[in-house]
This record gives sequence, structure tokens and C-alpha cells, in this order.
Amino acid sequence: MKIILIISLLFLSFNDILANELRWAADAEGNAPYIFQDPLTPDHLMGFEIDFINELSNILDRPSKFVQNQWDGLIPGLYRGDYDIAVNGLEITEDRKSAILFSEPYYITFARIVTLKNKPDFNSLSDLRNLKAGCLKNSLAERLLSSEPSVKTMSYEGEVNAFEDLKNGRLDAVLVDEPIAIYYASWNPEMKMTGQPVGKIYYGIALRNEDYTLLNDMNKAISLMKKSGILREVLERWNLWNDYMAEYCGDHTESVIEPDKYNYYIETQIKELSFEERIIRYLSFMPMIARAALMTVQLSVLSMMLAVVLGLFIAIVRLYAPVPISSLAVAYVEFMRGTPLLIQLFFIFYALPSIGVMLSPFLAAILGLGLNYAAYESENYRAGFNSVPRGQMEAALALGLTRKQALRHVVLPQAFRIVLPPITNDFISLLKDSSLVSVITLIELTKLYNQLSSTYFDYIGTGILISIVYLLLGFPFVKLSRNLERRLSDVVK
Amino acid sequence: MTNFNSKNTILSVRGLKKSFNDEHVLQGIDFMANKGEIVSIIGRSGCGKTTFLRCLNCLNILNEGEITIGEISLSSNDFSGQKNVDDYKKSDSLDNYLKDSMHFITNEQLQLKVHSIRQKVGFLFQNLNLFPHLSVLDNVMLPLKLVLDYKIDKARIEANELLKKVGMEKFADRDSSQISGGQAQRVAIARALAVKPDIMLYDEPTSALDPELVLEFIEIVRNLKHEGMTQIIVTHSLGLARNVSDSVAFMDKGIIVERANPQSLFDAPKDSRTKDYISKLLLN
Repeated sequence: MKIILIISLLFLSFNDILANELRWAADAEGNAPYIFQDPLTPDHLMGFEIDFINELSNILDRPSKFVQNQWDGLIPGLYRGDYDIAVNGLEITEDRKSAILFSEPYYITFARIVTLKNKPDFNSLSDLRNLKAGCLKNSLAERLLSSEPSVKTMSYEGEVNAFEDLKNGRLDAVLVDEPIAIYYASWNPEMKMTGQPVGKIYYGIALRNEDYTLLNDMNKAISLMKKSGILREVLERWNLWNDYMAEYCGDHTESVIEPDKYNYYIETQIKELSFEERIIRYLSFMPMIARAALMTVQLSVLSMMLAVVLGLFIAIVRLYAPVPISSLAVAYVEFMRGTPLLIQLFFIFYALPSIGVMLSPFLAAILGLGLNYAAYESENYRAGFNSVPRGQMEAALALGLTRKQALRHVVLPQAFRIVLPPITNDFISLLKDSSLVSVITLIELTKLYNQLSSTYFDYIGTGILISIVYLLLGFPFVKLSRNLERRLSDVVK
Repeated sequence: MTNFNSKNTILSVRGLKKSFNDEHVLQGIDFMANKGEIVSIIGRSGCGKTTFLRCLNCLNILNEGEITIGEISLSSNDFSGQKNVDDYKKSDSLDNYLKDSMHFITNEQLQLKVHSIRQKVGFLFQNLNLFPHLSVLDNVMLPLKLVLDYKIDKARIEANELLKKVGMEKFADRDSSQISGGQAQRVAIARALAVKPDIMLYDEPTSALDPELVLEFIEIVRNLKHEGMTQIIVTHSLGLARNVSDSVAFMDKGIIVERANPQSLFDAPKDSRTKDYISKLLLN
């Protein structure tokens, strides 16, 4: 009953959305200058796209609400209806246009070659022949490089990894959108931007295909921002104004605005931290870590509860139901543990809404993890049941107990003792598997780790910190299970 | 043998046949027991003694014949339409371990019947099958609570009474896994008595007991006889059969060959098969 109550509350809070709100989505996983965590107050998000959205919401007179989603899921989430628009360096391409609507561009830029200071200048892509170049997946850079077959191309999920590989020599150059080059390479003493602008990239606001009214509003607002100079001001403060934008806005006047946001960011990056400052920074992570850890624990505990109950049911059906029904249980187990959890989560979150089943991210996560782990738990139970000697059931039946009573009072308690350690094992594993739910917009510990580590380029320190939190989270449950196990085995020698 | 009359008869079996796959274990058993009678069943291993007991308690389905216990009659016809899957010898594979006789009984009336027969018949398993996760007292309380629907307090009082009856009241709080074999047997008897059966079935009760403990067991059996309990003992022990039984039945290859009072059966067996078996038994 409690679970049903929690579930219905989730539905309520999810549907409780202000009608007028402009809900927009992006992935805040360290994407300077687009949207990223403020290095000094990591609890707070910043980025030129946030400033852009704020101006947009002023013009439209609609309060904006940020929705976090994994970059890959931005477009599916649009169709789920979790938000109205997606703004996150989404390049206007023909492929994407077939699935979604794009507003007029709010930013035009190009790709740029970045390499190490000690390497020669590369003027164009043809200079990269027979060399190794990195780029981002699904980017203009990737398409351009693929048309140069003599360049050995490596595609990356995130720019940070590409730059790391440039530094450690796996790559000779990186081809990225210019904003990324400005924010990762221009100030870096080891790197340089080199050569001519390559190609032309248009960033647009993504909308659902049928949303023409909203599209109209967006285009009007963008046009207004171009004319009034608001767009230029936003971009100049982030040091992103360029010739293409000057052309696009018809504004060729000299720049007068200080790139204060850019300077702020660079300052935080260049500064070497003392040990104390580092500790202070880690301490500043704590509220976020606490929130993410709570999310991780909530997800794991609730989905494990589902898995343990459902798993028991499946095991009993498998063992004690007549053949046609018990083979359904077998099929369930084989299907759920034979297919990837990630795909199951995607299915529940993005595919079910098309048949009218719309679950909140939290509920979808619990359902996805719980249904999947139920398959594993049912196998644990099965092993447990089978380890109870046959005579126990017979003795109970011979006493006149019904089959149900015999299962409940004689077989199950003995099976449970055997099942407890593997269930604890699975729970610890679930604690970490719960990180998969970041694909359906939830921020838990691993997602937070990705965000923090790519904001500060501090993979080791943040990694150790988050690992310790995972250890601490699992520990009480391990302890609890040990105690329970000891109590049970005191009885059963 | 002469004084069977329907007033006193509490158990009667007619034409009972039972086979596992192609193995015909019981080949037509006719058997009767009067109220308060103690019958020992002797015979070689594999002659069907244990299967006979299991059929009486519906732990195996009967293929043919009829069992009447008090007013309840169970005939092989009752099982028609039910899938016969009780081959417990065959079904020792892990997944099938619980698919015993009652597994596929979907007929509710039949289930009720089986259920009430099991309440009338107590069964002492050869390996006792105490519930290791429960204390001595809880082992006895479990059927009181679940089968007779006793409230906890009443069940506790009753269970302590039962333990006193078998001399185990001092061990009530022990874990059932921490008592000796003889003690465990007495607890198992107390547990079987909990649902107030009319008949007790014992499967080789003394095979694992020291001689002194055999005497204690005999004492319990005699006390129960005074209370009017009908008891059927499957045994290899000549001494036990001779000392407690009102009559002894000799089984061979799935039939009852001969039944008589202990003295006649052991001293002057009529059938040559009985003679042969008893002469070998005496050599031990």
C-alpha cells in the first residue's frame, strides 16, 4: 500500500506543472560555454545558453524552467513531453529536421582545429593527412573528417576526453566547434587554435514537430534579440561574437562590451588550487553529493523492494505453478536478464508514452531497475527453495498444513537464510547500476561525478570522493544483512 | 484376526495398487486396523512398506483401490482427471522437488478430503523432518496454530502439554537442531500428535536408536495405546514388533503375505516366504 501511495504522489508532482512555464532541456555535464556548473558555486548552473534562454523568457513573458536530460535523450524527451524545447548546441541538420522542428539559428559558428603548442600549424584539414584527429560524435567536425579518408579519425562522447588524448599524444589534433575551442584551448598554455575556420554550424532551438505556434514565438523572439542587440550582448559577454554572427545580425560595429563571463571562467581554470582550497572545493560539493546520494539510495532501495517482492512471486510461479504458467516465468527471467538494462530503461521511459503510459522519470527508473533485478532475485529464490530438503515440505503437508502454509512457514524461512547473501550482493550491485538512470534525466551519484569532474578536470579527486560515498552507502546494508544472516544461522545449524 | 467388526474398524484398505513408472510397488493391498490396535509391518527393504504408509497419508496418489479412515473414503477414482505426477523417486531433480502428489490436484473437494485425512493420520518420518529454523516448542506449535487455528497462548499451553507427554518439556526452548536423535524423535511424535490424529504411522522408528531409547519409544507407543490411538509401525526390528504389536503383517513384493498376532507369526509362520524371512531375521 505504501508503495502505491508513493507512486501516486509521484504522478501528482509530475503533472503539477505551471501551464505558462517554458520548460527547456539541456545536459549540464560540463559543457562550457553552453551550460555548465559554476566552478566557484557548483550548485549553480551557468552558460551562454542559460543567458540566452533568460532573455528569451523575458521577451515571451514566460518563466523558464530548466530540465536536465542526457544529451542523447534530448530529442526523445521532447516527444515524451517532459519539456517544450531543447537548447544545447543542437546543430541544425537535415537528418534532425526530419524528426523535429528547428527555430531560426540563435548562434552561428564553425569548426576549429586545436593542437598542441609544440606541433606545426595546420591550416586546413588537408594538412592532417596521415595524422590522427579527434572530434565529437554526431558533429559537423565528424562529418568533415569522414570526408577526408586519409585522416585517421577518432570520435569522442565528450570534448574533455578528446583534449586529454591530445595532451597524452594519442591525437595530433582535435576538430571542434569554435566555442569549445575558445573555452578549452585558447587560454591553455599547452594548446593553440590553428588554421582557418572550417565549415559553418547553425545552432537552433529544437521543438516538437507539430509545435508551430511555439516555433513562431521562438522565431519572433530571436529576430527581436538580433535587432535589439540583446543577442550580441549575451554573446560578447561570453566572448563568442564572431564574423558570421555580425553578418547574421547585420551589426558590424566595433565591440564595446567586456567579455566578463569568459574572463570569470578562464580565471577559475588558470588558478592553481592550494590543498586547502581544494578541500574547500570538495566541501562545497557536499550538498550536491547529499542530494545525488539520496537519489541513489531512494532508487536502489525502492527498486530492490520491488525486485525482492516480484522476484519471490516469479520464483514461486516458476517452481510451483503448472507448466504453461511456469514457463511464462522462465521466459520473463530469460528476457529480462538477457537484454540490456539500458535499453529496457529507454523503452520504459521513451517508448511507453507512445502507447499512453507516461511515467515520471523517478517511477520509470524504479520500474526499470526493479523489473530487471526481479529476474535475478527470482533465480536467487529458486536456488534457495531448491536447497530446502524435500522432506520439509512433505513433513508440513503430512501435518495437515496447506501447500501455501507449508511454503510460507516452513520452506520460505529456510530458503530466505540461503538467499540473503546473494540478495545483498545484488543490492550493492544495484546501487551502482542505478547510475544508468541518468539516461532518463535523473541526477544521481555517477551523473554528478561526470558533471563535477568535467567541470574541474579533476577526475581522480572527484572520483575518489564519489567512490567513498558509494562505499559508505552500501556499508549499512551489508552490515544489516550480516547481522540478519548471523541471527538466522544461529537458529539453523 | 477374528474380531474385526465394522464398529471397531478405523482403517480399512481395499485393493490398493501403486506403481512408479513401470515399477509396481503395491500390487493389491487389503488391510484393516481396529481402534487402538498396534500393527507392525515387517518385510524386506523395497517390499513397499514405506510406500504403503505414504499412501495412507496421501503423500502418494493411489493408482487403484480405496482407503477408508473413519467416515472418510478416498478411492483411486477420486484422482481421475488429475494428472498423475507423484513419482517422487523420479522427480528428485531439483526443479521438481516439490511436485509431489498434491501438486496438480486442482479439484477442491479432493483437496479438502486429502487435507482432512492428513489431520486424522499422524506420520513419523524415518528422518523425522523437524523444522530446523524453529525451536522445539515452535515445531509443535506450528500445526496447532495453522491447522487447528489455535491462538498463540492456547497453542503454547497445548504444545507444552504434548512435550510433557513425550518427556521433552524441559527442552521446549532449545533449537530443534541442538537436540539428540532420540530427543528429536520424541519432539517429532509430539508434533504429529498436535493435530489430534486417530492413527499414527511410524516409518522405521527405531532404526537409528540406541537400545535404551528403543525402550523409551515403546513406552510412548504403549501410553498412546491406552489413550486409544491406532498405530501402524513399519520396522525391521523383531523385538519391537514382538513386544508392542497386537498383530504383525509380513509384506513381500507389494502384497501382504500373512498377518497374525506376534507369537503365531514369529513362532509358527504359515507361508514359506514368511518363514524364510523370519529365519533370516533371527540370525541377526
